[in-house]
Amino acid sequence: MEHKLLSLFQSRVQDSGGWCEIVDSEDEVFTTLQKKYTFEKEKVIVSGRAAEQLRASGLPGVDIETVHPEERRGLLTNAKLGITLCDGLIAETGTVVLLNHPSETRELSLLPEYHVVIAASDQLYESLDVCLSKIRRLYADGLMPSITLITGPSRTADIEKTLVVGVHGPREFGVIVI
Amino acid sequence: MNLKSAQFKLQARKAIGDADLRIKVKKATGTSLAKRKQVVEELADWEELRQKGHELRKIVVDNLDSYLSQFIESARRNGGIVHEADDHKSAKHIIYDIIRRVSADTVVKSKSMITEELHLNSMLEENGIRVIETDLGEYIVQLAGETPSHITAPALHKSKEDIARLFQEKLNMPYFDDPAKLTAAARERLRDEFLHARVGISGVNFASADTGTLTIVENEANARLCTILPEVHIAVMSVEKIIPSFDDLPLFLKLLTRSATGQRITSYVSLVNGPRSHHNPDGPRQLHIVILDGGRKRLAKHPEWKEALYCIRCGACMNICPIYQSIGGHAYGSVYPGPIGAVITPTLFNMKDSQDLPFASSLCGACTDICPVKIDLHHHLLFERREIVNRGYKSFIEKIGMAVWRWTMLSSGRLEFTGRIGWLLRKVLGKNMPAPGWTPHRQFPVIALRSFRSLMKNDTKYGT
Repeated sequence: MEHKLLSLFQSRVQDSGGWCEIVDSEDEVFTTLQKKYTFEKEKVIVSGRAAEQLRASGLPGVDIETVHPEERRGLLTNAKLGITLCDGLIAETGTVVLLNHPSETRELSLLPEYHVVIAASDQLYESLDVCLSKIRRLYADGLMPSITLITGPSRTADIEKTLVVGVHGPREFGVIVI
Repeated sequence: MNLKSAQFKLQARKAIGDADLRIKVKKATGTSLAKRKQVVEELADWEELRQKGHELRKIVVDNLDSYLSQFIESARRNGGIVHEADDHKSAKHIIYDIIRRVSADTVVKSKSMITEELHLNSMLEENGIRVIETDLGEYIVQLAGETPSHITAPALHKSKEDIARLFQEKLNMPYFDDPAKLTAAARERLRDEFLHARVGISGVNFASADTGTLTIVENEANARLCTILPEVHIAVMSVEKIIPSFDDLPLFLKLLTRSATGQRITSYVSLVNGPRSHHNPDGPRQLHIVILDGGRKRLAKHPEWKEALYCIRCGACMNICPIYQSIGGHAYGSVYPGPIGAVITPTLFNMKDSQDLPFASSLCGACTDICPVKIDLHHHLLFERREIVNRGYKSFIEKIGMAVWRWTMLSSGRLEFTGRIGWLLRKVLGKNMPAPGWTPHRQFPVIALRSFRSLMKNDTKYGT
């Protein structure tokens, strides 16, 4: 069942114009990215919580938490790749759910040219209903953080209904599920 | 409010004569409908979802005041600053005041029908504030000095060649008519504006009463940029945007995105639960929520018209409407075109000026069938026609005509007799027989000598 959901998720991400790779361990994250992109270390920006989790895998990149707040925006807007973790995957639509996390600025999934999400297979939900009600229960006693649902790269069809990928947000979007 | 709807007939005639426009609109609406069909048909329970959506919208509109106060309380608990505006003028004043207080001279804006309804941009510009529309379609329309012609696809009336010429002229760049290149040009020009603007304005798709969550649906990421980067975020909504619960969001997202753009979900959905908190690294310092009434609370009390407030602004009724497909959105002369526009405009704004809109329908009912929240649109168009006649807006000649028609239709003998006269006139005058408003464009059809009724009565082949 879980396997079926995972392949549904993968195909829905592809439907929405993104890519999705399923890997066995954290060690494979770096090699997967290397196959996709050639990049310089300083053009890869990693969120605080992603850096923490991926430190051992040898993933290069700048931990955004180590950058002075006033320099972050300039750095991100010139960056090639922003890497974040996430708080849920929705199989039905190929959606990645991000909570506004203290160590993960939303600008990471917004300003760089590409956005890659590192996720774990146990974060997978069948539908948005299940995922959102779980988040709500989690914050039943306090304020819920803002939530962003991301499905594929930024896109438009405002000119003659022709699909163009990469408008104001990332031009490429990918998910690596461990 | 001054409406251009008063010139509907003239505008529609012009639009119908514009073959280019018709091709563009047909192509765009056809693409949207085909995509919608695909993702709606994959859901076995679509009809139940529509019914559920209808019921939830009804509950909110029937209890608007209590849901509104619940929402305001929740939004304030989240740290939002809530402003209630009774009418357009006060809404605009509130928004201008917020911008003035932070001494901002530029505002980045994502797509919002309410701000279109307010004519917010012209008011802000008159007061020296630069307003930058950042949704690609809205950016194109703003550069051209026009208004949107569709609620989800504002530049639907323009071809890529039109846009290439527009960019060449206004942005001083070489002519290229490749949508990808045109989009890249807009991205490049707008990125700097996003990074420096101190105020961002957005609309709201859904406002959950129980959690105060503002949901904003989009594809381009411009709404995310408008609501995350600037210090101040002003979210503008009308009272009926409220849904009962955070838990209803998955349902309404499904109904909205599948109907509007034929997507299972849009690229981005932002669920805003307040401004930046002390441990957040990003987001606006201030979140202002401006809630417009603008006549909606009055409509909510009307037994018939309240249904117009169920609308979630997907635009599917426009795409499927044979009238919209033929004339596009501008001819309607209202912010809200198409079938839902023809229902909302007379009831919410000015019935006298927009009295022609409910008549711009074949009453085929396609709009009712496609509506994701089951608004009985063609019933309301008919109901408004009756209201318009009752208010005496129709001309004396039309009234006489209708009285004669009624008198004829009330007796089978008179109907039979009129049919014979018609047959005789057509025989004598041929296909040039004049019928005002009709024969200038069409030939008068042949009228049968014997009516269907008399055939039924006398011919054994048809008789019972």
